[in-house]
Amino acid sequence: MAELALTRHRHPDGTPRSLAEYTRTGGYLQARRAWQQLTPAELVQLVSRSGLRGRGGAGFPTGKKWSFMPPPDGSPGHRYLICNFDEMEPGTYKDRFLVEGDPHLLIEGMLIAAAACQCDTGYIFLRGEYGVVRERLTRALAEAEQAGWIGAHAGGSDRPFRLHLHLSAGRYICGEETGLLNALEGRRANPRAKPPFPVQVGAWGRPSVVNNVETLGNLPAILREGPDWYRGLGRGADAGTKLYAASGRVRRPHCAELPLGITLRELVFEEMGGMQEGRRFVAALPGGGSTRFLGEDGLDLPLDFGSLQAAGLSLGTGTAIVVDDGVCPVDLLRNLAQFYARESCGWCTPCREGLPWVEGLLRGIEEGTARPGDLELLEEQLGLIGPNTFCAFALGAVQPLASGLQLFHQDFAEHLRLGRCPRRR
Amino acid sequence: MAKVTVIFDGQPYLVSSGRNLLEAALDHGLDIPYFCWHPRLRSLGGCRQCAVKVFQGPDDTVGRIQMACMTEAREGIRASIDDPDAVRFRRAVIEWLMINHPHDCPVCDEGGECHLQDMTVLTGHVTRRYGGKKRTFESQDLGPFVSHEPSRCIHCYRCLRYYRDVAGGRDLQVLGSRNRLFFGRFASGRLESPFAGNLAEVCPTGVFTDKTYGQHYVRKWDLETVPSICPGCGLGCNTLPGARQGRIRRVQPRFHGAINQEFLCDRGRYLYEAEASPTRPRVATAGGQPLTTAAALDHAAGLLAGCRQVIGLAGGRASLEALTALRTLVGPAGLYAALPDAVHQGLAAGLAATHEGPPLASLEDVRHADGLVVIGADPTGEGPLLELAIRQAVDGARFTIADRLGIPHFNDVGVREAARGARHPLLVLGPGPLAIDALALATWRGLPAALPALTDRLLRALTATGAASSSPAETTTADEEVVLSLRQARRPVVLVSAASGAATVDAAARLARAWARTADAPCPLLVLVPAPDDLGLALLQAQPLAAALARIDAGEVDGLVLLEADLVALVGERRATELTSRLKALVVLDAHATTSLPLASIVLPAASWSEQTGTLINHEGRAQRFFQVVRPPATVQPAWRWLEELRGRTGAGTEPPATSFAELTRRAEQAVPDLRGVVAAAPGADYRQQGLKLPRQPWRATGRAALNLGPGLQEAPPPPDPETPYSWSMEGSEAPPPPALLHRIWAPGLNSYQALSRFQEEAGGSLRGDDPGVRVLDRPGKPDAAAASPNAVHAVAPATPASPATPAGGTPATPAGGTAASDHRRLLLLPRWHVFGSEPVSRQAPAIAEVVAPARLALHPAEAGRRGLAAGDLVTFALATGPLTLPVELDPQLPEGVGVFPVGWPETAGLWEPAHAVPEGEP
Repeated sequence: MAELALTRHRHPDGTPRSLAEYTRTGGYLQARRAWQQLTPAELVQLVSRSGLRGRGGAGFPTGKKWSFMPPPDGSPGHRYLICNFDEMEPGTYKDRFLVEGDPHLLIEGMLIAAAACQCDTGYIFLRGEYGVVRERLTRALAEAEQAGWIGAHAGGSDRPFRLHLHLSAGRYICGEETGLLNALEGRRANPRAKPPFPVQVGAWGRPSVVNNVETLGNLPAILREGPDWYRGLGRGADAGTKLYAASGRVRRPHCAELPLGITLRELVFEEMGGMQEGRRFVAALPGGGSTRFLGEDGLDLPLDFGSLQAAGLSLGTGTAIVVDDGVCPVDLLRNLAQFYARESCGWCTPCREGLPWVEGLLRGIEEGTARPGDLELLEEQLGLIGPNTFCAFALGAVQPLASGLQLFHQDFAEHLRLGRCPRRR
Repeated sequence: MAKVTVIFDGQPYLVSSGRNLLEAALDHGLDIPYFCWHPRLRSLGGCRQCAVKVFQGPDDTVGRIQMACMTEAREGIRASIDDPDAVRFRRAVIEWLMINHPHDCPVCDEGGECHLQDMTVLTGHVTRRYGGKKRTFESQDLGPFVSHEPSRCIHCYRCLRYYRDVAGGRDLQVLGSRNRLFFGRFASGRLESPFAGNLAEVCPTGVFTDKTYGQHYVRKWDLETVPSICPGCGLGCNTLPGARQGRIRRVQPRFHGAINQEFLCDRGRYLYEAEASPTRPRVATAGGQPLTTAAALDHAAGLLAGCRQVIGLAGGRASLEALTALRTLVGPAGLYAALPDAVHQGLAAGLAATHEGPPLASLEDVRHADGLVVIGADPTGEGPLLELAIRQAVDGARFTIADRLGIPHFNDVGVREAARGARHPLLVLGPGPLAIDALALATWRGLPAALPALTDRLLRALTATGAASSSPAETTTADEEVVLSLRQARRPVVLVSAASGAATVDAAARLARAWARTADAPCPLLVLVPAPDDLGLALLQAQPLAAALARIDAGEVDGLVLLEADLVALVGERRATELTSRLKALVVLDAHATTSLPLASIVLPAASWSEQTGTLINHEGRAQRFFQVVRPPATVQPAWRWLEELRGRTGAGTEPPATSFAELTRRAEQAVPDLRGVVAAAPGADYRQQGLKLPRQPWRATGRAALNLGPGLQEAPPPPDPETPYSWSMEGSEAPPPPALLHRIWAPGLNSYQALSRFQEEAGGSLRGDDPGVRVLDRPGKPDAAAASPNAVHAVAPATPASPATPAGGTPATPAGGTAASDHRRLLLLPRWHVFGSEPVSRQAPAIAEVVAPARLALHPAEAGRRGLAAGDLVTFALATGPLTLPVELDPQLPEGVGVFPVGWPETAGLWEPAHAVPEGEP
């Protein structure tokens, strides 16, 4: 078995590891080290050297993000570490998988990040529907507090780190870094203007760093085994392992920690056991709803940040949605468009008005009520909406739609020719 | 201001540094469509309409689409407005915005002056491609001022940002999400902010419109418009009334950089409907019998001829010209001010102070103040727009933090995020509670009589060397923090109400002088006055009311000319009746029905502000011209004309009767050195542009209903207007007029209020050619000028014996509240000015009348409980003005021992100052 950073000690049945189990395998030792032995600068440098990149989708180098945190200037108020656990990306369930099985891993990861960024307060911004996670994290937080890992003496030090669990009221935009900050404060989850960046002016106007669950989960292993070890876990240029997963009509849809840089073919046809009986692989969205489609010709592309970026694609969350030949691609795109149109916060025009129009055009093609020129209009709209919005929401939304329009152009033509969906009677 | 060069489509343009590309383009009249940017709200980046192509460095030929409003106009930045990608994207944005916008322009009140219409035409979106349904909303009833049609919304967030961030309102919100964002209240109900009316111009389309305008609506292109001045308080906000067929249809704010910018308060915006009030005197009457103009003049002249001694009592609603005519009629010593004593004395003290110390502050001074002390004033009630200016000043504190973080000022969302903890050094001294309390760093509570001492305490703390707590007995730690932050101010302003009396205004002036020395910068003093021409009254050296009453009581005076003043409201009905009984003649000139009309021997119907041209001098000593927009019936004439014709008959004075207001402006200027310059407040009647007059009516580009056609389908020739540079037609020059004559906010292709930027030096800045009006009290070497003018205002010492004397430099009077304990039954009755109700004329506008609350006496619940009173119970006081009976209302924010009554209500006629009283029937 390959070496693992995240799930080495996970129970096979996914039941949560208790504090006792966690500490038995060396848990919280790295948090202690981070708070008692290493300086913030050393921690930042260590994580930078590990090559860890953000696992929320954008792949921004974690150490670099931390280095933007201004040093404490003595001004009154908190410095926040915020864990983005909104996980509302379509088809994505990796963070839930990780924390349901090992809640203390997240807490220790946050302790390390807080030590590095000199934060005294942390929030876990949890997707509202994640009831099991909530239950297990609540218990784990109580355990960690009782054991003194978090609270007034973080990691056994003389400095505090108080960690709170916050349940999201539930919008996709809450996963956007600045929308999350607004939501956390009880405001509308609209994105904020950058600058100022959250590291300068974040939650309640204070310096804040926002990291994804999986990113934070990597930190104990990086500290324990060293940055070079972590770098070596990746198969290609990118460091570490990744929680990959798949959904759709594969034989064994599940989440698994694999070396960063496996191919889609390995993911679907080996790890997931291939396609279900009678189903043919058509395409996949490699990293949730906001990535571009990979067709059969993309099966051998390494699923890492660099390789996909070079091909004009993105890794996203690394949790693939697999499309088989039983699925109507037009309806699939319509479904995605409906999701994004519904989840738009309404702040800026292209996203608020453009996406519902796109949804309507796709619905028309699917249902046979399209008018001549609708396909061209759809293409034009997708080109206009994406790059010019206030935040990255719409840019993400048009990725699957625009690439799907190209990849499935024959299906679209067939719909328009028949004036209905060929899969429907 | 440092300038930078930006390049739009290859052409260099010089703009002030710190601006964004949209502002830079607007500064030069370049067309970039926009919605969410507004000069007062700055940039949001939400609508995405102002997209341009921006190039990185000299070799970039590809460029990138960026929002002009979010891109700083850095030196040498290269951008393209005409770039095909940018043009295509902007067209797409309009198409998106129009997806849900109804096609109801023909029945929309915004139609014809709609920014969305203009921008749609500008971007070239003409064909509808969206085939789906439009989303709709149910409209809300937002009260009598503002109409709501949210289905027209394009989600620019302007309304919300204006209402909450600028006006401080809480009850307008954005609800829902995605393409169902709803801007409105949680439920139907009147918008609480007294600045809600501005939503009509702030909203770029027809979601929020002027409800009163809608009730007697005509299109903008059918409105006759001239510059005017709001008569609703002493601030002198610039207005743009629009009339048709002899009726004012609406009033819009007219931009003035030093006063009201793009805003008006709702009192000022909606008082115009009083002009159409059926209760207005429209024919001369004596004893209820109508008289012709000539007969009325003869009758009035006869009445006055039968008197031994005639004096004039004039209110601050009267124009400088009417005051001058009255002054000529009764002689300089016979002119009295119909001002409550405290107001007159406070005003005199403020004007006297300007000779050696603080200049008078403008609203612009307030907006830029980095340290503000408000003493004994209620900005919201007395001069509502001052509250808005204070809010803007307080909001300005955030830029200090933004500068530290390098966030450009135009990035409104960013600046607001960064500067959430920003506190502005605003200190409020007074009995409270006020709407601005919530903005203040601190409030020092003190009853009116204690304010001079409290102000002096602040002065001592502010000027103490070393720590602020040099007198520890006086200041607490919290106070220290306030004083320290006030000390850091470099643009301080002190604000006081004339109504707080001479002692308090004197103390405020002392503070301003001392603060100026500490700050090593001017510290202007703002003295709030209640009426639009109170300074005209004071500068014409009108004598105090008490002196006039004393002369009547003594039987020395038996003839009184009451000019645009309400004796009953001033002194109460009992006293007014008693005074009238001593008079042989009471000649009343007024444009509005006052409670004094029934007492008059003769009523001469005067033209109101909309029916004549004249000059008003606002609180800062700025003389401003207002122009006639409506022609009254022949039986109504300007007060100055009545008075001059009356003088022609009585033979008083040496000058021949004036035939134009301008003769009186000149006469005023010649009579009083302090009025030097008032003639120049605006160009005179002989002003021509390209040899032409300026047309009141806009160019008939679209046709206009033939309402005024005579027989044979001929239009009657327009009447001449010998008094102003305006014609009563569409004939005339369409070139931009000088700022004091700016009578129309319109430019080719820009039919909405946003055309304003075309008349400004910089978009959002002062009008081209500078903000209009003449500050008569600003003269170089003013102390000398004052010394050289023996008639200067400080010579007009308050003559009332009742004046609460403060020994110069001595201990101020004991706080009135401090002695209240000696008599537990006694209440200190305090006056409160209300936005709606305290100003007499606006009460008569139907929309305002709807929101005027019934008169009540507000008590602290504990105070009421002690007296066995519950909300709604009637309480009666026997006062000098007569019995006062009011229902009780409970207000836990009030101090105990006081009862607060509303100023200007019929029930509280004659009550203007704090008074001690014991409720009747209490054991």
